[in-house]
Amino acid sequence: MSETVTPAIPYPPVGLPIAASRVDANLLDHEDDFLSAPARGTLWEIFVEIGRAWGNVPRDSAGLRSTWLEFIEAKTKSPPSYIGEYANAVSVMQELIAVLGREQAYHMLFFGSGVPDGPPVTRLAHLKKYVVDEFIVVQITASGFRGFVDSQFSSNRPLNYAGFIRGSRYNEQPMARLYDPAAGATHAREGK
Amino acid sequence: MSRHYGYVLIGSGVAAVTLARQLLGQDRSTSILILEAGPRVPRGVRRSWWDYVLTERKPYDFCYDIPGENSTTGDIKWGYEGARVMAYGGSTGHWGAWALRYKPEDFELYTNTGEGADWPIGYADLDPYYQQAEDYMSVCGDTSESWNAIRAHQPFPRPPFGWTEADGLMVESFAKHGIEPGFMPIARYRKCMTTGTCKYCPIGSRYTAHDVLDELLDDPRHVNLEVRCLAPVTRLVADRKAHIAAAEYLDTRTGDTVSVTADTFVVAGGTYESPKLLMRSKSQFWPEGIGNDTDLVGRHIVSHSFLRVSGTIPVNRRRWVQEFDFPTLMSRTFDAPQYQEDGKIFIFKNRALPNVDIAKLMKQGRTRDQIRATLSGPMTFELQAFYEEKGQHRNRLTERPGTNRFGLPLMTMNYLREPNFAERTARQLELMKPVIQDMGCGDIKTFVDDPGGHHASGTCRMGETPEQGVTDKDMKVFGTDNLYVCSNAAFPTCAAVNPTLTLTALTLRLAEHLLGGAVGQPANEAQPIQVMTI
Repeated sequence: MSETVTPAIPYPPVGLPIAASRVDANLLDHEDDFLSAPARGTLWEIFVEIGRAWGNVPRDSAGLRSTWLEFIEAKTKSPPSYIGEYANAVSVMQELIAVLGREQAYHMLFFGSGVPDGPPVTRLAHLKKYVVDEFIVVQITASGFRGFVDSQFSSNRPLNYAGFIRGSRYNEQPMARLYDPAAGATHAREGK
Repeated sequence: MSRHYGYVLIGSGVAAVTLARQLLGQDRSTSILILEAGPRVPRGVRRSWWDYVLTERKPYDFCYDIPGENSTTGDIKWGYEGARVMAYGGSTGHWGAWALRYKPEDFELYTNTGEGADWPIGYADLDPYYQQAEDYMSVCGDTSESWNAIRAHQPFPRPPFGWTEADGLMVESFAKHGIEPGFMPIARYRKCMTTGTCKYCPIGSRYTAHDVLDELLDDPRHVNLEVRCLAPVTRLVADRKAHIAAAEYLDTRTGDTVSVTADTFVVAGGTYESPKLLMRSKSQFWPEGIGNDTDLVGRHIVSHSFLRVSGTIPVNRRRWVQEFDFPTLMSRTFDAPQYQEDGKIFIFKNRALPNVDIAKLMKQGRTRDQIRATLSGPMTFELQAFYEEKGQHRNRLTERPGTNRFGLPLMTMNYLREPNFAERTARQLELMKPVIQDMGCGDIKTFVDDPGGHHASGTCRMGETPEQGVTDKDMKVFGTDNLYVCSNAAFPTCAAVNPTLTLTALTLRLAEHLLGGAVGQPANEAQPIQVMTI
């Protein structure tokens, strides 16, 4: 993914009637009580694109799928339900891709949505707050922050982020980069 | 018709639950009623854990004191907020699980300094119970540290967590100043598999009284164990000077006042609720409240002030962040007799620093390169300390009109600093500052924070006589035969470290005392039922 920052689009967005439509800031309701397979597919694509955009996963997000599915299960099966938010996300995402194209749609969503802080009062803001922002946390919680550290300081060492849960089959590995007195911290500070 | 119990335990935190566990371990049919003012907030719920990861809001946040509800007089603002959890399991629901022993000099504060108080027991009296407490809570630690020489023969049940790479600079700076680095002892309970969500562990790997109480209730042998939540105790009823006959509680769901009788009553309501209950239990036998003939109930409250020294390194090439989000580096070098007069300090690295909220930067639309630059830029470290304060007669907790949403009386804290507090803490900060300076930090800042409820102790302190304390060496209220205060409230001093391990050790000692046959025989007429009202 390019490091070029896309200028924020006007907010509320112009030419994106679904995204710009105003809604209540609270969690959106929905008549269904389940998440359809196509909707789940669209949400998974958003999650994967986050991993691609920031490069926080070494290759792709496939290894994080079980964590993501468990997260989606918790969000849709326990109150308050996110079914309405996820249905909204699918609708807005389809419109963004149809109008902007896939790559530009995701770039805008992640780096230039223009959504202000505060209660979300448009469908685009709901997508950003309740889906993209939460998926970002799930991404980095499940994958760590290795992608943000130079490889010479991180190779074969754990770089876990708050919330990471270690798998039981790998429980002899340390959970954090541990201090090695032989290497010394002062040199490490100076990058030697 | 109301039941009669062997024991009524007031509160459901670590003290009450540990005591129940010990009593039931001796006799599974012991009849015990635990009365808890707060609700039962489920633990280990995946949705609650994910919501905590996403928002940092915990499912028990509504069980904290509300800002402005309680008041302070004196020369500080007492910290009520976020300090205690009024719920099933008590404050172990949110504690950091730091599990440190007091040291021998902590039991002789008055003898050594002429301030505060001595305990009516010594370190040697508690040593075997400390070991039992560490085994029970599965505390991790390193016996080779010099301050652990007081542990004559006992290893920690678990090895310590290692220092993180981000601890390294401070470890090396400690060495330059003759400060021995140590590993933070933590009550792990079960194998830790995660990082940074200790305040709502998804897998129960940190000790909580909640989990232990659940296990006690799930055990089908405990047919006479009963827990009632949303049941604030309003009064203890004495039928003669030395004998407590009943406890009255408010069923907050129905508004009914319920009276329960027992052979033995144990007030385990913490440093706030324990004295309040004694004070408002007035009768012809105790016109100023139970145990308050010498006007000591609620007095001598003490806690830790928080000293901090921070500084910033200009470059963080290895992009250190605090990767455990619980502390691993500490030292007890200044928690030693020669520092007792000024007030001992227990120092530790700030668990949350250095840190960058990477997820927040991603949400803000910062690119990967921008985040990498932030991570490798200036980074702040902080050395923190608990400062030992000494109990003063004038510092006192009292009730004020009204109750909180759990039916517990509101309170006022009158708290004045020691006369030479500023000079003493300035000297202790000077011990800490060079550590941060020699890490290569600039922009050095020092802070002295007000004390609060996190480690509050002393409102029903133990003493040799009723003129010295509210409770005797076994935490029995002076002048009574069947009433105990099992709480931090019974501590004559607060030392420089967290109180929970010491409270647990005292509870194990109390259990042994009760099982010795002096008091508290299980009631023969108890009916075999088990109820948990939540």
